[in-house]
Amino acid sequence: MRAQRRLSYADSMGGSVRDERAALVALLKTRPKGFRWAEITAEVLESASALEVWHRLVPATLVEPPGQPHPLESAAQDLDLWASQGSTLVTILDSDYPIRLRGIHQAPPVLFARGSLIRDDSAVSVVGSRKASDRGLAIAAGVARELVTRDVTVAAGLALGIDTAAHRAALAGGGRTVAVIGTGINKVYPAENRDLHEEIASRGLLLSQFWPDAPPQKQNFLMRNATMSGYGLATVVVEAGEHSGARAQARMAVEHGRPVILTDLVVERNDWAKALVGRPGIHVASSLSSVLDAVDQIIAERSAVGAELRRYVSA
Amino acid sequence: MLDREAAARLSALLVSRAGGYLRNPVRRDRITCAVCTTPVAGYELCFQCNHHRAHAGLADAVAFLTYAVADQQSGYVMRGYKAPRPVDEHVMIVALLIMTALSTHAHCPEVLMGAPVTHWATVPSLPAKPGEHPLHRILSNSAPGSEVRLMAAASTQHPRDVNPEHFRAHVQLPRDSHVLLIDDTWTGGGHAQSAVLALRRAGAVHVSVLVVARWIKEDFGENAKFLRELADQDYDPKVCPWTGGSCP
Repeated sequence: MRAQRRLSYADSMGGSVRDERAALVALLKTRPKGFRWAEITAEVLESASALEVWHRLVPATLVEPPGQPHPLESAAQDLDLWASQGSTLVTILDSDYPIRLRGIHQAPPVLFARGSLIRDDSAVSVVGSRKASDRGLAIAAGVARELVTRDVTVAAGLALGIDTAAHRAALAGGGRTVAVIGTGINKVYPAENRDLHEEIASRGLLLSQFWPDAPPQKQNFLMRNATMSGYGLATVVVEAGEHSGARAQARMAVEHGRPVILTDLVVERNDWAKALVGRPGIHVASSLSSVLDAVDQIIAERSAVGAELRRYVSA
Repeated sequence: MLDREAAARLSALLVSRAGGYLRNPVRRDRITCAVCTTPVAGYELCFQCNHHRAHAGLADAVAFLTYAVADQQSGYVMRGYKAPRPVDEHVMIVALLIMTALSTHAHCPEVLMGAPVTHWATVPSLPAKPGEHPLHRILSNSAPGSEVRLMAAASTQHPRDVNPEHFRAHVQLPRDSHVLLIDDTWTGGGHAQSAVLALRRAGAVHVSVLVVARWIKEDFGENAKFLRELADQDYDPKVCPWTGGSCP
């Protein structure tokens, strides 16, 4: 059964918001012409209507084999199911899609959210190893505590070690924290973080770019790191090894034009981190206060760009 | 025109916000096309630029500010800045690129032509689209000289071809005019070269073309290898977009 059509043109879309969402989900599930998700995203952004893209890519006569539901119809049912499970779907065409995330080329076409979604969330990612040293954990907690006092959201990936220390310190400081997770929004991973998972859903935001029941898979964690880089103003890598998600996030952040703050701990121990030093947007910090100085500098620079450009370019 | 300090500030902001993924176009004989800087396998010109040579009156000089790679951040920025709902960050990067080039390299086309820039123009969408083009909005306060407005044809059979009928300037330009023509993305070059020919019909003596991005696909020819070799060559706004090296 289809829910009643909600007519809304607030998002400058062709049909209703619900029809647009269903069309985007159907595009992603059926991948007409073998389009990759990134290609579907680009098409949809350029057209500003997923329905228009659907009708362009899927000729009406080609749709369903007999006995199968129409893809738009099953997508609409998926939307109802997900809503009943307590998560919110936000698409890249929606005005509440996180503003900075829209700026990176790996921007996920759909996000599933539990908690409070803030479009212009000023967040800094704090990431690092699952097997962290005591010093690393202390730095992560210290950075998170200080970010919270500056009204900056702490983003991390809900992994054990550095991520957990950052999330917990942000919550303990009464601040906002966002967990960008590598599984579907209905999964709890790792199991040790079940309580933290629930607490972030009720006091902060859980964000997933995967279908709600997606299990943990290696390549998904890397995609999640790209999303985290895009969500935030900057990434702080507290402690990381040669083969960590944090390393991948640092590289991707440079490719996104997002600043990265490496602790000296990371630079001393890793050749990949030494190679990043001197590249655009890379800061090296040798103490908690120098991490925060770098964060302050990054925030000040952002507003400087806007002010500078407004002087010369008519808006 | 920006003063020297403002230009230096914008240039530093450009590097810190986009230097990690923008790449200065390379000008090297028989490695990249002498006109459009796309990689070529041992030829002087790429297939399309060579094909364009059938027309007299093409651009006197063409400058590129960056490569834009399809499916990468640079390509995403060049699409997002003019999406129906533009991405603010992308508009900012394109504006920074243009402002930096117009301040740091303002005199380079004048030195190359031996004539001051008297006019500027942008390449409109083809076929014509309603509303102000985002590139025009960025330039309207900062471009040098007076504007020559080009109008796009309402319809066209082959928009990618070089054809002076695609655009029209409804003015007659004075003697010795030097037009700086600005475009956002060069794929085959048909749009920009057609606009150059339309400007010639309006009487332009010199036409220098400044293009924000040379569009590149990684899966074409040896492009992937070419781009890999640029992997650690972060963007440097001092590199002259007109020469690929030091300023003329």
